[in-house]
Amino acid sequence: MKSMSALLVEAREKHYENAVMIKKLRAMLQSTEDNARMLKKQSTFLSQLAAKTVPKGLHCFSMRLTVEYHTLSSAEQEFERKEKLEDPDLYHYALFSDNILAAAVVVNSTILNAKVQYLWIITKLFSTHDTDLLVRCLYFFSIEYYYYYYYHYYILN
Amino acid sequence: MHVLLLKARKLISPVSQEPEKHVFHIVTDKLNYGAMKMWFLANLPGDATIEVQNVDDFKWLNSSYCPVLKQLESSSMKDYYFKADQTNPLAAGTSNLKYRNPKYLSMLNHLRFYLPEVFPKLDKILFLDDDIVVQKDLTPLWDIDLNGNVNGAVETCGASFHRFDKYLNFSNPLISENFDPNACGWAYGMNVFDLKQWKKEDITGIYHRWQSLVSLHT
Repeated sequence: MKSMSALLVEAREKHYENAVMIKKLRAMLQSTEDNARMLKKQSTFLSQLAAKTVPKGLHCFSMRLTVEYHTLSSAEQEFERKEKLEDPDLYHYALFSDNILAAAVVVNSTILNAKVQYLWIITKLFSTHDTDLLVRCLYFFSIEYYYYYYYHYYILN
Repeated sequence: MHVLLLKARKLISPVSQEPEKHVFHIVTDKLNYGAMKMWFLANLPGDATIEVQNVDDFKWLNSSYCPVLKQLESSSMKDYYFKADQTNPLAAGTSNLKYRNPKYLSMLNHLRFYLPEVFPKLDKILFLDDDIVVQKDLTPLWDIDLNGNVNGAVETCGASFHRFDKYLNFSNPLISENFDPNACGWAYGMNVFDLKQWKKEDITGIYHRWQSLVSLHT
């Protein structure tokens, strides 16, 4: 009997109102989620910040080049052959970059692979048969022809 | 009389180069200008000609001429004044710093739409991205006849990927009336541009017209 009454008291003490309880738990869940989201954001931001502030060899590279550039006299700061910049007959490349190493790779690889010199052959031929013969000759001397233009000139007299 | 003009590749002496005919036009930002210039002053490959320009020196590139700059400016203003999420003082500081210089964010990327303005005296130019390595002679590209087209590029689409419907919103009538959803996308790493034709067709004007219809969701 005694233990029964103790149990009843305990049961009455531990009886919560369900609706209130659910509300409370929901609120707790939401605030925890919010907190987690904020912490996640913060950690992303801080890891990015850390990555930015760690001194990098590359960083120094650009800095050293800049310092070196400003020690040059204004004449030394200029590139040579400026007259070629606007000559439309040359091979012009446009390269927009904020990455020095990447730009250097593009320029160097372009130059290193541009090894072929073109040879212009201008001939006067009188028939397509002659053209054929010439192409065969080139083939024989292992000169790979790239492609050719064929012009008909009607000479008006 | 027939005159045959033959351009032959000389394999007898493959080492003979003509690097003096290659001209590189590099455009970079203010931060990297000195360093970029110094690198190429010290490491000029062969007899190639190099020019380094600073995008901030292009005075014509301003928000009254260029719609994307105008849009970036107004969106940064909006963010600056109305953005609610200013709780983290560190993050707020860096984002404002960035917004103050909208040019740095994207102008080097948008500059490709202004090639004739950057190079007013040239007829043809090869545009290279900085994430490529060249493995072949590129000079034959200048001989390609673009047949009156402005841009020569490599198509990158397959049966269903890199088609226009992946990039553009075809539920917009303006898009669906003007573009083919099945048109092929192309690689932007290496493009030949006919600048004369660009000017003739006023590509910059067309770009401006479309850009001003866009709402930036940055």
